[in-house]
Formats: sequence, C-alpha cells, structure tokens
Amino acid sequence: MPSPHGETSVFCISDLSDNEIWNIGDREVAQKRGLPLLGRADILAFHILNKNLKLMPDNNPPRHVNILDWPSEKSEQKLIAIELAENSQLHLK
Amino acid sequence: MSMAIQCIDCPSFYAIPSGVGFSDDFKNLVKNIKKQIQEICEPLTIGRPLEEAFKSLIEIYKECSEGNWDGYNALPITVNAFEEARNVINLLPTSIPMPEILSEPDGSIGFEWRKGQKLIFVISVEGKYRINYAGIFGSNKIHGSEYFGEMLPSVVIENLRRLFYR
Repeated sequence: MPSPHGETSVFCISDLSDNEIWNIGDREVAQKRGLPLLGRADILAFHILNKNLKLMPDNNPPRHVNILDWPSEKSEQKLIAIELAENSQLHLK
Repeated sequence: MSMAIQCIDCPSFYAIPSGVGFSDDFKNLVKNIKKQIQEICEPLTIGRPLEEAFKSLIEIYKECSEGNWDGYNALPITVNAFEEARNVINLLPTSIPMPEILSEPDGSIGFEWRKGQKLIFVISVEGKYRINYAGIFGSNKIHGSEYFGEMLPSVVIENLRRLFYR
C-alpha cells in the first residue's frame, strides 16, 4: 500500500545475490523499524507497470525506487496491492 | 465433540448495539447480555480464535500507535481506528475463520482472508465510520467503500460468504 505521500518504497534487486538482498532489507527496513526482518516479497517490475503505476528510481539510498501514481481511492489501492501480492514471491528469512 | 457455529446470515452475537437505551433497565440488560456472551465464548472453539484476534490487534496497535512506525513516515493507528477494528472483530460471523490483521501506512487496520490462489478478500478501517474493501475471486475483482456503523455492511458479509461457501 502507498504511504501517506502516495509512494511505496522498494529496492531494485537485479543482479544481486540473496545475501546482498537481505543486507539491504536489514539496513533499510529492519534497522529503521527497530524490528527483525522476517521476510521479503520479490516482484517483477512488469507487474507494477501493468497496473498503471510508475517506477521512479531515486537511488537514495542506493537502489531505492518509489512506486508512484497510485489511484486516490483507497479501495482501488487495496485491489492493486492484493494483485501485486499475488504476483510476488515471498521469501522468509 | 460438538461445535457451536453461528450461521453466516445471522448477525454476530458478540456486539451489543449502543445508543439504543439510557435507562437503568437497559443498562442491566446490557450487563446480562455481556455476561451471557462471556459464557458463550468460554468453549475453545468460539472463545480461542476471538481471544487470539484481539491479542493480535492489541499488539499491532502497540507497535504502530506512533507516527513513522515503518521508518517511511507511516501515520499512527489512532484509538478510534483501534476501537473500530475491535468492533469489526466482534461483528464477524463465528462461522468465518478469523482474518490476518495488519497495519497500513495511512493508519488503517486491515483484515485479510485468503483461501488460496486468487481467492482473497480484504477490508480496512481507520476510525472514520467507513470500511474500504477489495477482493479477488478467480477472474472476478471487486472494490469499494461503505459506511460502517453498528453492523458490518452486507457487502462484506456477502463477500466473506463468497470466499468461504462457494
């Protein structure tokens, strides 16, 4: 789901090893929340673009990308979110 | 062992409508009903899932009641959102499995039911008398928003039935 600013933070993991991907999660998510990382969801960029969302890399931090152009209606956001979840691959740590 | 199951068409017996009486008689009636509800919930088949759902809700509220709980400026879950989520749990038909409960970045509390691939129904509340919902049922998709007062909107009950009784 998008943040209150209408963005969803993701990281580009192309060409990264499994360890490198988990390191990003530990550094950029777990440490920020002060909670251990339990898992991650990987999704192809195609599925995000297929929902008329936009991918905007800002590399801040490195490899960071924002998903933008979520619809304003909350229920429509929820539908897109569950469709993206259906097309993603869950990995448990 | 026999198990008490509430029919999905019947309103939940956990929730007592508020604001329908003010007299001492009404207060006594509410007190007696609450006592009877407590006795109904004693069997593990009914009481345990409810207890676990409330426990999960309280944990989520504790973790997410301050802003920026996700490290990405998420809004806090307000006490109104928590109370509304508690009402949702109380109003769910007991014949439906308890959902997974989660927090959302806009401060809403979400409820997710998943029966398998492409069989999902989700709702959320944020303490503003509205339920937002979305669902995937095979090739069919739905989403919308309904007023939420003292009863769960019929569209929520119908889609839970669709998910679990097709």
